[in-house]
Amino acid sequence: MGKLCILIAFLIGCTSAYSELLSRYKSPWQIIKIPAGLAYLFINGIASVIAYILVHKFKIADGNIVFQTVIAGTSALIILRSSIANIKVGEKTTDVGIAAILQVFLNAADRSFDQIRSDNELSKVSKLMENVDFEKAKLALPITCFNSMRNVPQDEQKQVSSDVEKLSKENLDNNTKAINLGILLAKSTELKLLEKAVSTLNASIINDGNKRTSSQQLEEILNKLK
Amino acid sequence: MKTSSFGGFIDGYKSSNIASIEGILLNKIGELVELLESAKELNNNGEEELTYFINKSLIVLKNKNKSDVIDLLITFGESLKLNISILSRSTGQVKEKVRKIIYNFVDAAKMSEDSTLINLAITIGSNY
Repeated sequence: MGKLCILIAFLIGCTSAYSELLSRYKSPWQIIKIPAGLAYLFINGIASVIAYILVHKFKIADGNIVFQTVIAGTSALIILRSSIANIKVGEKTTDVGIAAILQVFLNAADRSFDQIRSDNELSKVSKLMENVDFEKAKLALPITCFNSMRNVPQDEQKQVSSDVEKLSKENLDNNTKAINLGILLAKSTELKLLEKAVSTLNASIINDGNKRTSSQQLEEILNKLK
Repeated sequence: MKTSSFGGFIDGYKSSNIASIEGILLNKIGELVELLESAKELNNNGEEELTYFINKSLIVLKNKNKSDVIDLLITFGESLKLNISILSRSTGQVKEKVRKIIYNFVDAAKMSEDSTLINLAITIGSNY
């Protein structure tokens, strides 16, 4: 029974850490492929086990094994995220305490995940978007992607719209803008859905060299009127 | 009530776009008003239909009750589209003012990135 409770406490710690990483990366399987991610889960799990041993040793909630296990699992999480002080060095504020140690693993997991994701996605997105006309796709593609999903938060959609609007105004060529539009959307919607959306919209967003976009037509009219 | 699955994107895109260019579009409207008033003076005792169009446009563009600058421009653009044949017949200095009015309208439509305005501008510019 003791070993089972230790295992449950370990799993509580790991599960909580896993959900924290999942909220950051949204890719369930990638998390366990990153060494820093695994280390993060392990540290949280071990902390919960240590907490269980201490709870058991000091007879907290004695007699109630379930309560002891839950207390162990959750208290470890709180302690791991605590800091005894905040020190400002220049413009950066740093936590002093156990939270700082955990942050090191979290930062390492962030960097690893970004590296893996960017390696995987950049070449695929470039190939996917190479024939896409940015002007035609900048509204159609995001709308199609978000409409195909059920749970993209409104705030996230607004952030994407702000980024697309800024990208639209940048002095970059159409192809570069299209690739960056793809990268932006892949972060929110996953690459597979983006591929499906591009394939579905196809003719309406593809760069057709023979057909002028609205922007080109307006530019011609303005030149004519000058 | 169920939230739109892509409403956040649309609302965000439109509001950030409008917020960044509202001042510029209001200036464009100011320029259009000046050009129309100038055209009105030059057209004094001229073509009645043109005078009617100018007066009606000035009422629309000076309407401070309408809070949405895009709506103002769309209303003006619709009137411009309906009267394009009259405007195309103008001559001399009035013609020059008309050309600048249409130029400013098309420029405003391009900046707004509003699809209704852009389509209006393309129609007007193509038919002038």
